[in-house]
Amino acid sequence: MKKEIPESYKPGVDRIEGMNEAALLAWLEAELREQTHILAGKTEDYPVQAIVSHHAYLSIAAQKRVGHALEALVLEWRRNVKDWPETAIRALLSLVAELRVEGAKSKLLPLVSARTAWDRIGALQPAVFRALATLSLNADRGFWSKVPNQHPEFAGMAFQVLTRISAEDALQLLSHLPDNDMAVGSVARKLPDFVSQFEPDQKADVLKHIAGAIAMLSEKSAAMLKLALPKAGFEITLPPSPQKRMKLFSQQIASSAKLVRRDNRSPLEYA
Amino acid sequence: MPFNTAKANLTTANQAALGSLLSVWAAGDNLTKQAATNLQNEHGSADRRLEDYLDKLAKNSPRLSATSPKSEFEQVGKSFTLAGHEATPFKGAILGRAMLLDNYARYLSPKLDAFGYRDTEEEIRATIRKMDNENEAAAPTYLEGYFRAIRETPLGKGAVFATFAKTVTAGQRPWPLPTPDANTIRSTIALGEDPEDQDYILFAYRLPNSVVPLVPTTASPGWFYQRWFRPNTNAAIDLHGWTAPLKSGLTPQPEIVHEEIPGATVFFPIHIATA
Repeated sequence: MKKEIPESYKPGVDRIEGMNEAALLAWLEAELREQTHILAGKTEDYPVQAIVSHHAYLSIAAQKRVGHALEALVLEWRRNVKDWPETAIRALLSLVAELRVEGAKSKLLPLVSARTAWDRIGALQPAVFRALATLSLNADRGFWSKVPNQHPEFAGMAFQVLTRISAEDALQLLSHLPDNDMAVGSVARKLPDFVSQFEPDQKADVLKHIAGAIAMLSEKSAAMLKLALPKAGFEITLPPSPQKRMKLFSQQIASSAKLVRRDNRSPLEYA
Repeated sequence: MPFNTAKANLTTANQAALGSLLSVWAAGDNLTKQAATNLQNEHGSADRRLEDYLDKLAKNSPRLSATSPKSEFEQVGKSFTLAGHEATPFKGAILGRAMLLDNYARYLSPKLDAFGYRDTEEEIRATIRKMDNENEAAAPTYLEGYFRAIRETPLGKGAVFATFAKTVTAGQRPWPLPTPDANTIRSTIALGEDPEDQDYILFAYRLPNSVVPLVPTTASPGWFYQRWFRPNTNAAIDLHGWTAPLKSGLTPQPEIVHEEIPGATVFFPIHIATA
């Protein structure tokens, strides 16, 4: 059952309920472009917060009409990227995500997969990924697992999404995390919450897997990730990094060689 | 200058037009009724600017008599939003602002994008929550960009309302400890259009030297917040406004307005009021 509409929201809710799809489309576009604000709120609430606040009190039919109008606006933007101010598109992407406009996902995906479209949206690339992230379900795990290869700077965001929709894939992704600050930082911010979501008897295995993945990274990245866990009360012991393993192996060879013949040297020297 | 004094200085025709506008508003819904009452209690302006404002309202009274005169009201009020008495005694106060955490996260995300932070909306909100009471000096490197983004993100839009502890002493923070819950914050500082049961981020900051705090006028809160705004009829003496708490038993808090500023002067740690 819907909560009672707050008195101050009622005029706005009634106005949206009274709009057909064409009227909704025109109004939403004007709101996004900051040309009009008809809903109750303060200046900093426009346009997204005011629309989200009122949306909860709309009938299911009106919510659907709003969703369709927002999908149409995403398509319109895709067709005419240059005609829209960046702030309007940020607001549009926030709305499709927060109002869970599922249909917008298929309209945003071509922007990520086609190189020319991707380059054209420039500064809005993270906002597009963010909207897709919020709209993603378990069925999208394949898409997010491929992101580190296709868009390495979004690998950390892919990890964040996978922790919600497919924890196993999130763990797998850690094993081939690109060694860059953006990706590693995003993983570090999410890692403690991710470990917390496992049952106590699973945590040790998860931490071991994470430790193995961290050991593959550079010292700087490994330090960043290792720091994130103790802050949340988790301890990990890192296996030696590949560089350290190679050094240990060389030392072992050197001492073994001396066992065979005292004048053996490592690395071997050839006359 | 009180409303009646300013009104008496208008031409006879404009006095009549203003009177007729107030009658239309007084017969309207609770919002327009309150707007009429607020205007008649206006004491926030130090000089003839109230007179000029009333003059503009009178000249635009036909358009302002429409059912929802938001854009007309705010257009006419533009020159009066930051026209209250200077709240000079509180220039050095540590000011407080509360913003819905979800809404603030939207404001922060363009800066985070620009700094190369690639987080989901859910993670941005979660990270802001983790910054509750987190000292910047002790924060791990992967949070540095969040502190920087907060400093470079505006602390509001338009006429920015802020509260403060009226007894201005060095280091006196505007928010009580322990941090009140979100619904107490919402009610105490009269954020009536915010949905209930949502977390707030609480900022404490000082104004840059070039920015003067002002008594809020009737135009400062815009149209929809007329419902929650109450002008201080003692503004000329107090040199600040008072919030009108949404629930009984809560103490009104002093408030001022100022122009938009970036978060450069925010004091960390920030605090989160949870619902």
